[in-house]
Amino acid sequence: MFPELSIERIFHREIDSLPLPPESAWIPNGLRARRSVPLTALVICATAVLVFGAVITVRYAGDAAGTGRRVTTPLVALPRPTCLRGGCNVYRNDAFGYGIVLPADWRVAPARRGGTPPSTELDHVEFTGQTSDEWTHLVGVDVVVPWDLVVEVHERRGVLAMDWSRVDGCGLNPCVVGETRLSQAPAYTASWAISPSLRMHAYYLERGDRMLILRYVTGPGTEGPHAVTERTLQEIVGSITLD
Amino acid sequence: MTAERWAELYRLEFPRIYRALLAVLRDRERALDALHDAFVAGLRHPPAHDADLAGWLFVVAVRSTRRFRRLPLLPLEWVTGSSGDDEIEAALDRMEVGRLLAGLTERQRAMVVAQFYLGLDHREIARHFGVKTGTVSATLAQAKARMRAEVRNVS
Repeated sequence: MFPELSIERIFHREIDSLPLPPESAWIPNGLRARRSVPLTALVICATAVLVFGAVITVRYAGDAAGTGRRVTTPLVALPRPTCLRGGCNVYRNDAFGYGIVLPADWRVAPARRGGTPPSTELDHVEFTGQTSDEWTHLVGVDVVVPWDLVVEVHERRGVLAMDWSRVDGCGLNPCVVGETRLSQAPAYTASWAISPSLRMHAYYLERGDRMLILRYVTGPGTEGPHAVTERTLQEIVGSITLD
Repeated sequence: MTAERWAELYRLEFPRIYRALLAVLRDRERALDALHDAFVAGLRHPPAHDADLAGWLFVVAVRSTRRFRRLPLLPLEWVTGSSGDDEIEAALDRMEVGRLLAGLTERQRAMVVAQFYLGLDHREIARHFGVKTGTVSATLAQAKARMRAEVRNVS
């Protein structure tokens, strides 16, 4: 039997001698401030969208009453800042400073269920061309649905795009890397197999203290549901505009 | 609980929990990152009772280090080219406790430190880790057997 009382004393004596960091480092002040900014911006944006939407609706309704036209109000998917479909298929994320053009039949996928996002992740939006039923059957924990596009915003914590791609899995597997420009900003690209039939493609953009990542998975085969091809996804990625 | 109250309680517990994390993780950067994550988690969803704070902070911090593992990712030290925290490894290896803990898995270390350093009983450890009390007892029994074997080897 272990002499547990003496063990406890030894644990306290020895572990209490381990060094502490300077007190200024105990509380992540910067982290708290940084996280509150996007939240504030999100609230402001959502409010602005609601006010703007209400004004437009009232004006259209007034016009329609005069002309007999059918009124279509803009589709606003809250709490996302703006996601307009139909006549307008541009997704704007004002909180994190980007906009992206989607095919008309694409939409924002529901938020992921289960799983714990990485601690650095500030925002995660998945765009899909698949129907709700198709998407629901495909989705699982910690999975990127093939032929969907995911845009992530992370705290960069000083990590470079190339290193980030290695953390994502590029370093574990044979990886094709390169450089390109998205919205005139340099982007690091990486592509690697995540299974015999699936391949991850990722674009990393360093944006100050944040990392913007666009990623999609292709396969199996060269065409996904609803005739989505890698070319479709590359065009969506290429359409991104950065504030 | 207000943010100010949370920060005050966190500061009070910081030295103990940080050192407990060092003993488990053997790396200052990981320990500090994990504790920062636990602080932020507490800002969003503080623990229900002040009395549980040490165990809560410790387990939330330990869990936050596992988030990266759940994804098919490389450890961060591979990226930075560092092979861990040599200074802390050396300090722990000079200690009797550090040498005993080195032979355990990270999960075993976490439960051993929770019991012998933070003073949590099996039921509290089970609640915080979200496992059955029997699992805690079995894990601790295995850990103690390993530590006994280590003591025998040394003597």
